[in-house]
Amino acid sequence: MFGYVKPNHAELLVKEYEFYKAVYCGVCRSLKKCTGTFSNVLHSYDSVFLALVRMLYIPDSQIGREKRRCIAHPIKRKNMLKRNDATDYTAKAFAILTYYKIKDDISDEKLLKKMATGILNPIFASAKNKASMKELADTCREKLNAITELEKKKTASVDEPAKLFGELLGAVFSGELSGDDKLITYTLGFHLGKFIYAADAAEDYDKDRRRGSYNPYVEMYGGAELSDENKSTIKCALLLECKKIESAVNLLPFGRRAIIENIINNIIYLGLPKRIEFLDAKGSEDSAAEEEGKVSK
Amino acid sequence: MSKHTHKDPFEVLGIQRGATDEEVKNAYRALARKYHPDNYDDGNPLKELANEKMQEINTAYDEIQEMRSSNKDAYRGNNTYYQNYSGSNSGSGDPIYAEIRTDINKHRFADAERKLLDIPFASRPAEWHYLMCLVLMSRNNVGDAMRELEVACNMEPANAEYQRAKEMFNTNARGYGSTYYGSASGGSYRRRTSSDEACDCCANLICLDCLCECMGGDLIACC
Repeated sequence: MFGYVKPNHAELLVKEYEFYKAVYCGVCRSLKKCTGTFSNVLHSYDSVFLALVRMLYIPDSQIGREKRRCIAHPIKRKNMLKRNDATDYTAKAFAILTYYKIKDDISDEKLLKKMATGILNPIFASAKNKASMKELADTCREKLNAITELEKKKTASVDEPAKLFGELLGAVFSGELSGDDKLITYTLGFHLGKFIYAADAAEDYDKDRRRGSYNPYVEMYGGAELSDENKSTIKCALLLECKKIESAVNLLPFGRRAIIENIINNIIYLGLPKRIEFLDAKGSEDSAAEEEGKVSK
Repeated sequence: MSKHTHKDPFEVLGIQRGATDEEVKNAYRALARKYHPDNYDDGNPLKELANEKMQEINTAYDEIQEMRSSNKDAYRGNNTYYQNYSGSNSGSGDPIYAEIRTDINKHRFADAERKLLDIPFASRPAEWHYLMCLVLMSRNNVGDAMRELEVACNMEPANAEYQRAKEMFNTNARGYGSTYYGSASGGSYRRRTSSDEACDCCANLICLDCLCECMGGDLIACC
């Protein structure tokens, strides 16, 4: 999900950071088992957030750790999570997301596309071998097509496409769950998706403006350079979206899993706002420098 | 989910059985802040679940208080506070906008939007953008709504109503994460709390004592 849902590592406890890395490895191993040996090169830290949320819905007995070697770390044994239903689900859902994302990214270059789909197709096929996953893949395709339509129309609204992306992530977060669990995870995914889409658009503003490619904010602000005030308006809207994410996270069934709770809280309270710091006014760089000074002391 | 089963009140508040009254209070406050109706507006599909949680916490708190038979209702009764931002009814006096405001106040957002969009593009005053902001907000289109509000404020920088709305959104956004840092209890985050400051105080005294001893004096006689 484009690097938006990461924790602020400096604020994690060591045991939480270790657990975070172990979950990363767990998802990686699930990828290898569920979607083929080479699919794990596509793996990114974004998937860990989904895996953490989904782990709240599996019994404690499924969550175990072991020390193993892997291709990426052949010398040192790494602490990694044993495969479980949550990591398997995450791996498949991410394989589907990545498949569409890569396909979308290279829609122009013919040769590259042929090569890439050649590699990706078997991964994609094995990811959606289950009925629920097939359904998820269909939802993804439908939503992404709808977003492309809006982008072609050059819609001057950030929320219309963002909502579609939100619906996509909502489906990803809530797949295979039911009842209240589905409602909570769907809402979490929905608002996270909206946040990611809008933050992504805001970050690409200058690039898209120069290139003339579609960006909802460029349409809304008429292509002028963003003033500090414009930026603070955008940031305010993004933070209000974060509050919606918070309202869903508050209802997640953490129980006694304090480590997962703290990592998830770290991601939404520190990780997300950190990601939109580029919207801060230039003048406030002093305070950032000050902060860093404190750390180095 | 948990409506029908009775839960251990201490479990609900996430505290040990032997927690002090202060700890119970803090845990209750932190959780009540979390599930407060203010965090779940009318459009939020999770509103009902949050209400359930709130009730669960209230019941748990009451039970503990009853068990300990101390003052029971001190921290309740705040739940009905709910403010609607479309409330104020001032404006330019143009009848169509007065009508749209009534629609918004009565939560007929679709009607309001239709009427707004009927007004031709060229003749849209600041008020149009402000009301559009409220309509978009009702649909959770925060990004677009904030843009409309920005336009309204730029067109009429002196208008107190628009400024107030903007300030309200800003305050709301700035409040993000305050429960994360703010609360010292409830297993939430690790920030410097008053108990840390107490440790600091002791450490300072010990340092002072060492300094005094260097100079031949003594501040704390026993060490």
